[in-house]
Amino acid sequence: MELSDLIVDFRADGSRHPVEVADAVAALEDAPFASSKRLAERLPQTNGVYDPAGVDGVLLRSHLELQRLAEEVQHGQRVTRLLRPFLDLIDGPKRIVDVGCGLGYLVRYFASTGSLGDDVEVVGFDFNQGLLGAAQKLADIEDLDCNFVAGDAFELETEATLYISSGVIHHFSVPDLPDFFARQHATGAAGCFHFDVAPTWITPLGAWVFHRARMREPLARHDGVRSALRAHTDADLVRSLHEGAPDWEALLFDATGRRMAVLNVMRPVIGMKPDLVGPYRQALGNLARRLS
Amino acid sequence: MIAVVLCVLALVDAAFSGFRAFAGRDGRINKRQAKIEAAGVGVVAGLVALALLAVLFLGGIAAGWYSYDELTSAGRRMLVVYALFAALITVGFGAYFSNALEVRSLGTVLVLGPGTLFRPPVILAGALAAAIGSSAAIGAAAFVAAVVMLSVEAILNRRFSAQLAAHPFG
Ligand SMILES: C[S@@+](CC[C@H](N)C(=O)[O-])C[C@H]1O[C@@H](n2cnc3c(N)ncnc32)[C@H](O)[C@@H]1O
Repeated sequence: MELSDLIVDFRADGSRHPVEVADAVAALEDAPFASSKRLAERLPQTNGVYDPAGVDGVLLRSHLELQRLAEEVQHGQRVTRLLRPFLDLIDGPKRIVDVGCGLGYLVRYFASTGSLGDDVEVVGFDFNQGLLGAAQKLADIEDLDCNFVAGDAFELETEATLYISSGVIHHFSVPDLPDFFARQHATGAAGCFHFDVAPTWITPLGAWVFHRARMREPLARHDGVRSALRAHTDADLVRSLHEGAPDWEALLFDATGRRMAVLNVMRPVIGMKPDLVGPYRQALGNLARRLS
Repeated sequence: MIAVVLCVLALVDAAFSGFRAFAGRDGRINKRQAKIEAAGVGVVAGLVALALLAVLFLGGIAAGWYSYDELTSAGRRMLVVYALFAALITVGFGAYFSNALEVRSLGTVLVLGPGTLFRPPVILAGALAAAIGSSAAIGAAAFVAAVVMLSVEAILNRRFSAQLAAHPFG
């Protein structure tokens, strides 16, 4: 389990509930390393309940470090080069919703660079309102045109042309994945691009090296390494997408095991309306070879 | 000459330390200026560290613990280790300026990320190379130099961490 999932409890109605330290520790009973429990025991708390402000501070620092990794691997450019050709196929105003946006790095990157083109509204969606508040402040500082909406991905109602996410879907178990995709499919969207760690042989080592080298917050290091171990296989993603979004075609970019995959650890599972697949391949140019 | 090259490497290392200590603590999208300033803060910290070491080394020479020539020959062995590491990092950093995302990743994944983890042992290895075959006084001075350079990053980390705590949004 990732600790970040255990130490806050936000509900779909927007409310926040206290979390007992003992409950988080109990949920880690079967965690493979004792360090997970120790870390959970040491996070900011008062009278056995996690202290909301303290926990938000830890999560803010962790997400800032996560953003740094995204900047270093140029995640914004990687996502843009796959999204832009897709969006250009669709006429009129478009809306992108980044599900589980955290600090909203991608949302703010798109708003700042305008890399997705004109007439594109970018919205960040997350159930953690502490992070959303920070995301909004960061957007305000730079005068960026983007919005943030609080909600649970499994009760999603925010409409969009396209849903995206980064580093989110490994937080959900395989049986929950179809519902995740189904919610997006049900809004009538044209598609989805969900970027997440690929479970290659090198992923755990790479995750360890980079979270050690680039992160300082113990929770960020812990969760980064855990996430590599929880990464979903290509087959699980494609099957779940088919099941949850039966009208969409399921694709992968840099499927696990392809030569380039080691250099593109955050590979997306892609869903889109079938009539868009041909034009999308064409619009992608050379990169289309890496679709499967 | 050896001393000058070692000082230049130390300052470049300090500039990178400043950048790393800053990175991951500022959530803005556009922060080029702040990154440059952070590297500048690193250089200042590096200059302070070098000034301390200069006092140590010159004081040691004056006290007769070792001669300038002995220091230089130990410094040459130290430099071999650091120059090899610097060459490797330069290659990785070069890839970072490529336009191709895949080439950039290669530099980051193979060199820059692991390079950060290997930096402390490499700094200590340089001191070890200097110490081997030298007098105990020179060996001790080399290790002090290594520890001082390692503490530069730790001090910078504290500085930028305090800055984040005081101004979480820039
Ligand atoms: C590992 S973070 C990734 C954040 C961001 N996308 C990034 O790349 O930096 C996962 C995010 O998903 C959010 N999240 C997890 N489960 C969620 C759910 N069911 N509904 C909405 N957001 C969720 C968490 O609050 C967290 O911000």
